[in-house]
Amino acid sequence: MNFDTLELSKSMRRLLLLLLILPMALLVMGVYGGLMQALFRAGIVTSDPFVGGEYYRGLTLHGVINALVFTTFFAVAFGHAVITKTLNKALNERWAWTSGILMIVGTVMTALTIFAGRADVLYTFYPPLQADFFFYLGLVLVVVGSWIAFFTWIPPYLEWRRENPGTKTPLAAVGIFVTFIVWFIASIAVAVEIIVLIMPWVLGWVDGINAMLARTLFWMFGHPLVYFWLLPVYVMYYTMLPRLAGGKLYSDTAGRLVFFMFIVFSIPVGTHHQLMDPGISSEWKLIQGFFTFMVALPSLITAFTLAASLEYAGRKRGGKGLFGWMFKLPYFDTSRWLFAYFITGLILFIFGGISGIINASYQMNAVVHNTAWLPGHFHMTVAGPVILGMLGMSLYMVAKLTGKKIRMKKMVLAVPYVYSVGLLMMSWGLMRGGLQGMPRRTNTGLTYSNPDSALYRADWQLFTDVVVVGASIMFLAMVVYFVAFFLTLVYRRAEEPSMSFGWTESVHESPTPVRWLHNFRPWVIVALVLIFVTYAPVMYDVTTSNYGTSPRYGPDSPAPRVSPSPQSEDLPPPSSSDAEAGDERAERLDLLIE
Amino acid sequence: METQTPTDETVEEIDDASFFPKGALAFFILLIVFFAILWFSMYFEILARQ
Repeated sequence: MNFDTLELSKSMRRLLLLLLILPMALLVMGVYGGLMQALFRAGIVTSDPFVGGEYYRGLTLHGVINALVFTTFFAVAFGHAVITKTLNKALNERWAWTSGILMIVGTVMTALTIFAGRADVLYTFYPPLQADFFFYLGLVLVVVGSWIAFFTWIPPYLEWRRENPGTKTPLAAVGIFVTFIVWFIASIAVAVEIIVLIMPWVLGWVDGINAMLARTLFWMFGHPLVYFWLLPVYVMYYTMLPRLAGGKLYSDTAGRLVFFMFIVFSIPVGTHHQLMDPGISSEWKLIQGFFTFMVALPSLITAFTLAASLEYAGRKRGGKGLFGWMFKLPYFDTSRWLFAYFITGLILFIFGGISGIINASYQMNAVVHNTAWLPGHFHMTVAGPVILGMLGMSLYMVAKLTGKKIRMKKMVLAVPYVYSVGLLMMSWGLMRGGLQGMPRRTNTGLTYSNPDSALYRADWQLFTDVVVVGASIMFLAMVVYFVAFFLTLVYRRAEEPSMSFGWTESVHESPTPVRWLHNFRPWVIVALVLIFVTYAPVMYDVTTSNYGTSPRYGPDSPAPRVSPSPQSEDLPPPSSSDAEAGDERAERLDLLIE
Repeated sequence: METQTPTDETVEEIDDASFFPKGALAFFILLIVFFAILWFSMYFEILARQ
């Protein structure tokens, strides 16, 4: 592909650097928060002075910065660069900057509320947990900012289509547009949750909130969010990895099919996060579980296509036999250091993918639901291919945008391997512990990992210890990465800044567009129909279930009170034994809090 | 990309038209078998817990 000729303007280079460096600085705190989670849960620390001593504050910081802020900023910066370079079109800089400033203001607002201890609600911010109004406003600004970035890419694309009739849209541009189509549709759900349900409740305009409806809207957004994280990395895998390996992409058409399938199947799947929730009919949970299996299909196609591309590269480098090509790939070539970030992510995704299928299997979910298995699983996706791809590409882009040489290249090459060993250990500990019942989102250091507690579980200790060792290895790898990243930034310029990507060629590529893989519109229409069909009954269920609304949950009201509903008024009064059991639970809870 | 000179370590030329990824196919089949083993191990875990 010879379209990568337009240079980014100085103003755009500055914007991209800002969008890459600011979240990287925040990521230092997010990664620190991750290590502290492991230490808290093992009972090694009981207080973290940096974030006010709060376990849940640290967990919120870790989730919001790592999973929401870093990924969204990266996707926007990467999208700006890919769209400009693949279409050879300059973007509207005023709107690009407006988008960036909104995202930065939103991030600062959200981060300050977390540090001030006014938003200990985790990154899922499930009501009736309630945060400061500015926590939600900050998140809205980040999302709206990312929408504006997306909108700035549409006019140049339409212009490109007019100027290039009968030409295929570059695969990388297809991938970026799919990423943001999925993001835009899905984030409407969370926008409704925040603006219609949460904000009026936080401002005191309404007394209670429908927690089930809020959760359903969140997961309508929350699972597609996973693909918003993953798809920019898929763009790297399809359009850069084969060339890095020394070969070509096996099939351009397969890549296009994969991206379009994500538009259709990414969103009607969120209810598989609510398989144990009341108020949603079993059949709709099952159907959305089925669609979760469908969304695994593009990833399986990707596994084959990328393996074929790597086989092509390996054979070109002299690989023989059925698997000899695997041993000829440039795993430890410092001049191709980025390959290491991609291949380790792919290996981790094998484990992250299958554990996700287990989560989405209706009855199996009962075994792992709300256990440490879940963070074990999703760290092998979001902290695996997603973060590794984004870390590698951030460093690559920053070096290109500043014209600087990457420092500590051997260490930079070692980082993904060391990090992956740590991640595999940590996830193994969490998943094995989860299968034994170890809970997630719980400061187990106070109870299950505390030999002085009546709740101590000696049989979980091995898993907790392995998690600490794994998390520590990951942390050390990240420290090395941060040092290399910021050293690269502060060193003197070695060449003129010039953003360029090494796009790969394809083994099989149709010269003209395949009609059904040329337009986004039919795929978006099918996706919207599928979302309506799968979510309308779910929304009906959660809005007609008579659970009433819930007031704010807080330390002063540990057991959320439920507003009277027609059904609860019909219930008989609690028996004395129920009341005694409730009193006993409250006393134990008081003891724990003390 | 910084680095990308795809032919720098070429040992063998490959004819694109006749290239068949038999190794990738074998890898993919093993991947599916591995997935099935993990999925069924969890399934039998459920059965064991009754």
